[in-house]
Amino acid sequence: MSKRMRRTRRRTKRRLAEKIAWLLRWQNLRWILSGMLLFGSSFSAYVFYLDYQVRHQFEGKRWAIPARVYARPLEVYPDMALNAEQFENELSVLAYHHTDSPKQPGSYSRNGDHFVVITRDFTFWDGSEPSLPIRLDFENERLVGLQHAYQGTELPLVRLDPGIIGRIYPSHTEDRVLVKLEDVPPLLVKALVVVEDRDFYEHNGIALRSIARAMWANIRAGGMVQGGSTLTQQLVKNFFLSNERTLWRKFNEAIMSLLLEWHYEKNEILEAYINEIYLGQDGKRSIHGFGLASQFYFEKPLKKLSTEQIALLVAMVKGPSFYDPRRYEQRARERRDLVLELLEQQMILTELDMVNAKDRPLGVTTRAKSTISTYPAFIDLVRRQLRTDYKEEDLTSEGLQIFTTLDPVIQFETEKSLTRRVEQLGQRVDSKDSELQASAVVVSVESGEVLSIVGDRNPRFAGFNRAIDAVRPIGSLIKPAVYLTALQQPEHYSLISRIDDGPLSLKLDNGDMWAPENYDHEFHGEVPLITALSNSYNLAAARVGMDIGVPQVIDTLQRMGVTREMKPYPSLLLGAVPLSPLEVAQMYHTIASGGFRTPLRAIREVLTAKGEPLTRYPLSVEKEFDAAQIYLLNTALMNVMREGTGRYAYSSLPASLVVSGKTGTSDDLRDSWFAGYTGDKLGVVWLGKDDNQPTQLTGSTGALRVWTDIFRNIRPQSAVITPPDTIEMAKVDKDTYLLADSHCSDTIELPFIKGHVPALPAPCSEAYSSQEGEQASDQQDDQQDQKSGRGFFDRLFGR
Amino acid sequence: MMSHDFSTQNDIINPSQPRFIYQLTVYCVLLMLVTSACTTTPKSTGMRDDGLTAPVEEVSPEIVEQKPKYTFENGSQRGDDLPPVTDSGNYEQKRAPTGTVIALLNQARDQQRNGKPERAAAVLERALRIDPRNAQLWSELAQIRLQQGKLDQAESLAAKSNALVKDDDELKQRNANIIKQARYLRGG
Repeated sequence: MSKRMRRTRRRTKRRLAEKIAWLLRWQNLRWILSGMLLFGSSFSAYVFYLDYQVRHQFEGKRWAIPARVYARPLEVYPDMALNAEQFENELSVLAYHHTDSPKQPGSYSRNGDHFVVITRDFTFWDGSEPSLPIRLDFENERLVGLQHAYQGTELPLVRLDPGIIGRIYPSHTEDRVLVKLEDVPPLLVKALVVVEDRDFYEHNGIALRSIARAMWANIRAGGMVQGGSTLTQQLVKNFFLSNERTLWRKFNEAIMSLLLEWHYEKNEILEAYINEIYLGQDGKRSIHGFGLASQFYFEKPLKKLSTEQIALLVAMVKGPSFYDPRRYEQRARERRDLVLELLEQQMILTELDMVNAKDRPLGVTTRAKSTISTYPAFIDLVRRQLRTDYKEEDLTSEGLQIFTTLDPVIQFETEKSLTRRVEQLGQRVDSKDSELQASAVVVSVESGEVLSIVGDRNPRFAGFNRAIDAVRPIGSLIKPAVYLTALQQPEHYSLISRIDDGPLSLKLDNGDMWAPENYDHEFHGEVPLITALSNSYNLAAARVGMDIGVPQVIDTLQRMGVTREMKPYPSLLLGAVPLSPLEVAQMYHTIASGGFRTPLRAIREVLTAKGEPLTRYPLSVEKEFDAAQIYLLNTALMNVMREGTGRYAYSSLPASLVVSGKTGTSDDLRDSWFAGYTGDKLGVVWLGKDDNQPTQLTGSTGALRVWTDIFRNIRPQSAVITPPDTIEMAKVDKDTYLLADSHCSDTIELPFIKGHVPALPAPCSEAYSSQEGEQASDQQDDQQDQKSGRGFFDRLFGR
Repeated sequence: MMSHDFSTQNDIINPSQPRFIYQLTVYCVLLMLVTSACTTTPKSTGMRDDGLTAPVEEVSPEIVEQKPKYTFENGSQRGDDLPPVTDSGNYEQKRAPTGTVIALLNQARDQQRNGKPERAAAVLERALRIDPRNAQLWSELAQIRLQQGKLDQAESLAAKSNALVKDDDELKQRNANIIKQARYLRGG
């Protein structure tokens, strides 16, 4: 060694010795140690903060129990209208297990028309219903026997536990399809671990070996095959959505992953990962979790996915947008195949399976279905009705139990009929850019409960809910309100009042001329009121409306339950009033119930997660119209179905079923409406196009068809209503709609308000021939008062 | 006192920042890992009940013996003050058997006697879903609302009951009384 080198070395050593000596001097050591302590404690504080964040997020997500939404519980009693098939469907909705000898609650056996069921116990608002072994015997579409299965005692009523139809999630996550780890296909778990985090079960949250191995594998493969982040790290990344790739973020992520592993089991982390990982975008909605992704890409539940489909989802974890199978098919397929190869290498798949899987196409559906909610329209309605009483946080995290009015059977039939019929009609009417759309609502007449609701021709879509939000002109659906207002003046109007359906033109306040027309562009002369309504004549309705006054009609509409603001323009009389199908249902419900307004309800009660009662939404009833006047209107609406624009219904419905209803068509056939009811159920159907293009369908050729299909399958019941005391029946000649007697052959019996039976005799009657001359002309003078189209001044100053 | 070479001392006091932080970080992380190995780790239990599957229960003999919630009353237990259930329906298809409705009606009356009018109302509404055109049920509901001071409801419900009554004058009278009382209490 040269002298110089030795000298340098000595100098360095001396410097080093000096440095160490200097450090060890207490004053300096003190600074260093307190600096370290300060840093250490602030670092610890920070770690505690991160720890709190991790646990809060993890448990917040896991323990936040969204509200459970139940359908109406099925109540069975002897002699009820129900058949074995329907009953078995109900049991399957409730996930009752079919077995040969049922012993556990939630199981049943079936022997033709005989069932033995062990019901589950359940706590309802009014108390708990214990688990019971029951025996049911069906015959001729009815439940003929209901007994305790072992004791043989007759049971008057048994209430089954209600089925869950959905949950309420925070709005930014919409629905999730939560999966339990034990329900996840094993292949998915294996693939995830192998592709994303080989050492998942061994590491502490960060795997240095994994990072090294991944880098090596990527270099060897010549591409990014493996990620260096563990599943835990990815989960942390998902919880804190920011996408910055800074060192600081990586640092946080590392610490939080360690903390996560410290607190929670591998399985819990894995389950959370499977339910949280970001897997795609649907407009504003993010797709999180494999359960939802499975539905979103394949329209199938996770359990039903095939090998290559599972491989695709796992492949997408790395970059769901980059590997979007719908937009970048080639890229996605390549990565999927890479994953399949990896699985084969790791001996998770046999070579044969891998080759077969690679051969198969991606399997994604073309149309991105943005929903997995079973009943999005109904859940939407439930949410809105709850919004006034509950905060969003309560709904999405407290595990509330919401008991609703939904009837799954009626919902099923409504959906089936609507989709089928709209498909059929759409073939003629759909164009490339604008397709026929539809919505429907069925409610119970006596209780005002919403039994089913559909907001889209594809009922699974959780998008625009037309049943509540498609506000469209109701056209002729308004006429019953016009005529009801008229019938409230029995001294001027009865069912047989002659209305002039001749040309009409009016000067409006703004100077414009209003000259409405009938749909058939014809004039029908003088027609009785019942016929004017039956055939939906516009001119007659306009005349009556102008006579009684548009504000009066608005008043009637408000009493029927229409809350929307309406301007008193004459066009209102022909239905230039935009309403949603639900609002129309509210309006017609007041008629169907005999003049009693009941707010339509989708929810019966809300209980806490433990079963404690919170809120009940009781039946409330407000008498709005005189029973007799409603009786008259109802008679006319029955006539619509027998002889008027609604008569198509009886081509499929039994003639013995009593149906009342009204068709509605708006200008240029842009909206096709039908509102109709039997004794127990009311249904409203709307067809139209979202872009408001003409549909080429009237209420009769469009909405009525859907309504008829629905009602054919939901077992409606007639109600023969006894006429109120203030009603008097009288026979009328069918030809002239004048008072008939035994001399007349073709008669019909119609109701009238007592004391206001028009006395003008029909030509066929005996009374007519003896009333020639003066008496006849006197009567005619009186009768003129009943003729519409003549204003107050006309009557006052003579004809 | 010997003057130190401050430049070199500064070098010593302020070693290069990143290296210092790095060393400290490694120290702290090691500390954590060491402590984590020592302390008992609190693990959470992974129970989550989201109601997707029904809890499986053992059927104990008790369940078989359990009395069903509603039993048919054969009329003998009804007190004299309770009016009979009227048969007011006259529609096409058969009505719910009176037994079922009576069972619920009695339950409603029990609830009322126990001072739980809202519970009673809930039971009556349940009965109405089964037998919607039963004038008696509507009348009893009207009575409850009257007692609760919900006068508009009482009046409308009584009117609803009357719209469904056929031949039962006594029921009609009771409804009329409810309406009269409601109007009187309202001061109109």
